[in-house]
Amino acid sequence: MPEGEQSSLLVVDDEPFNHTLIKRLLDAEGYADVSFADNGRQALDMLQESNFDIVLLDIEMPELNGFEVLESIKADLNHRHVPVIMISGVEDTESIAKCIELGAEDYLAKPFNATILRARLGACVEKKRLRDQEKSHLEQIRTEKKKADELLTVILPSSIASELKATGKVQPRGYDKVGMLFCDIVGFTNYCSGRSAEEVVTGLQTLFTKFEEITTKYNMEKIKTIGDEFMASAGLTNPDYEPLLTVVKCGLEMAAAAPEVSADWKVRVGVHAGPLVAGIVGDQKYQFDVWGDTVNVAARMAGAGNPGAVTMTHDSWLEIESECQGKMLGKMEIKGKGEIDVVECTGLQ
Amino acid sequence: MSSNVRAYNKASLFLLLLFTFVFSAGNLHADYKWNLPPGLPEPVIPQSNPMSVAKVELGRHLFYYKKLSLNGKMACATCHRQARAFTDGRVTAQGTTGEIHPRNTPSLGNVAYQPVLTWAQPKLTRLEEQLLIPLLGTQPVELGMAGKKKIIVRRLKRDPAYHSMFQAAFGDNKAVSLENMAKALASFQRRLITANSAYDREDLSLAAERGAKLFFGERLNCFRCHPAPFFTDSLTHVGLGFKEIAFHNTGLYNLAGKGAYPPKNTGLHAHTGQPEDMGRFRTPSLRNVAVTAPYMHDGSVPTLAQVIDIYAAGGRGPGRSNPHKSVFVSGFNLTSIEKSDLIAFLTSLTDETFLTDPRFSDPFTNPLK
Repeated sequence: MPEGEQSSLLVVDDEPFNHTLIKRLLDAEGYADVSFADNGRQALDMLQESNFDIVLLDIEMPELNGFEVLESIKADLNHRHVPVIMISGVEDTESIAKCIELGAEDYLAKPFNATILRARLGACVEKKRLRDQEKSHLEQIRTEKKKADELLTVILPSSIASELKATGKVQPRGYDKVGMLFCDIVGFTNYCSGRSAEEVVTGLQTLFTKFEEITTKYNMEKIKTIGDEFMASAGLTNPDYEPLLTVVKCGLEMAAAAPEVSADWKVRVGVHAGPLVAGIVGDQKYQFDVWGDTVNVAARMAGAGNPGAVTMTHDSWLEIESECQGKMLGKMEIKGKGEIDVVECTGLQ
Repeated sequence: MSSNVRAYNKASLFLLLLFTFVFSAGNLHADYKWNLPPGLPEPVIPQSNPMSVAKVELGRHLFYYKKLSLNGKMACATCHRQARAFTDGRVTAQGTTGEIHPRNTPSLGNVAYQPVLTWAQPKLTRLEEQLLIPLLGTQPVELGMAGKKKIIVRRLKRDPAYHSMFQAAFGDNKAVSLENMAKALASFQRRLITANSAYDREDLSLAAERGAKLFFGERLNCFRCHPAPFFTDSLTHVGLGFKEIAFHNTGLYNLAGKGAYPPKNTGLHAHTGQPEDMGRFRTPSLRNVAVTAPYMHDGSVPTLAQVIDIYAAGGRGPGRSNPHKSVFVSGFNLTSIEKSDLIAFLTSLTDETFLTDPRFSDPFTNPLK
């Protein structure tokens, strides 16, 4: 099938005789979709109503001449990319120059010559095809970029992702008070033995999805998962005036949710609040992470507690005891800290 | 040994300081930002007149200042109109007293890249000197300020706005002087860079693309004297080993069959007296050529189509057999369609933004915000 058959053409000429002549020439070239306008105004109306691939435009017409129609087309954001071929007198170099200046793609001199008409239309169709292709490639690149950006915001907290996109790096920062939460599954190793990998991962997926829902509800930030451990923060990228209470509430909800997901799941939650440093490490695989004593203590608390409870240091407990129920677990040897009084929170008051 | 090392260190420290001083003094305005389109080299700027934003803005105010003419009727901009790429559309220029200039007003677009100025002045290389000719010259009278240098300075000093602009540009109380006026005007003209045409944007219409093939082809040989990207073979810029200075006889005249040009317009010959320099003029750039009609050094060709006809014929009338004619003006065959294509290409060298850029416009009607 000739290329021309797919292109829709609008021919604007006030001479009915030219319509017949052009129609015959275009028919012979395989251009089946050809519309005709008798004057400039009609042409502009037709352009508003339907899309054309190429406009053939006579210069000399009553009412609106070819220059005026061309200017209107080029001033219209929706149609300015439609290539326009002017129909001119053969020696009319000044008009041709003016049309090119106004944005015409090409010109056809009268009397029409079939070979030249074929060449001009062919080149125009090809150029439009290339331009459309380029446009669609650009669109594709934009879509891909959007996807990549979205992926980045999924992997990283949105404020961190924006900084990374804008500047290409993320400045590490220190925070005065952030609530940290660690949650791990009791007896996970035992659970794994005797189950297929698919079953284990599907179970973890369901549990962690539920945990993500809970952290989102508390306006917290999931930092990462490490094996069966889920790590989240409060007051890091979203402001939180009581980060410790937030992580305690979140921890209690997680502990309650785990058995609902699967009767086999029981979790231990450890929390702590205090200063820490956050940033991105790695250059090829970005990982937003947190460091500091606060993080270590919260992790230790998770290891020290009982299933179904939220464990914290006694100092932390004093901050939230007015709103929580709990009991002393007594002194515990915490690695790197010596003996510390540890309290487990079992519910809210 | 150690004292030698110390002496060497002292010497190198001294040299370093000296270099730092010379370098920083010579590049007082080295941080001037041209913001040139990619690929365009920087123009050569005289060390004695580095570019600065304040100087360019003062220069613009001087360029449009009618009090720089004897009767207050003309400014530089009267003959160098922005909408026409800083030409006047006249066959030849007319001075403030009505005197007719023998030459067509040349465009100022990319004048900073011209190694020699005006149509045929091999020794005139600095805008600071050239602009004094229209200002103070008497043959012909242009702005008509011959012998009135003090009046110019007095007029500028009397205007507080100019006084403060001079101070901003040159930084002292005695800044208002003819020399500084020339420096500012030169800086403004060097800023008139034009390189944003459809050709530069690689956005040629199909007709212009065919014209480009003709232009850069060996059948027509246009590009021999009008090579891209400046479209002239008379060129200088930073990084160019030596200035390319070119004057050509294009076969427009052949008076009495002896190769002569009309007496007031003999071109390079008027300066060198060499017979072979008869009728040789500097190659003008073809950028914005569609808006700078009429053409040639004497404005004797009204349209681009006629210019092409002349080159197709290998010169004009008897000029075709001018013995000093350039070898590249040897004629060619061109169909009427090809001629239109070539004109479509030349039209695509028009830089619309240059013709309307507010930074180059009349500050009295279009002040910058």
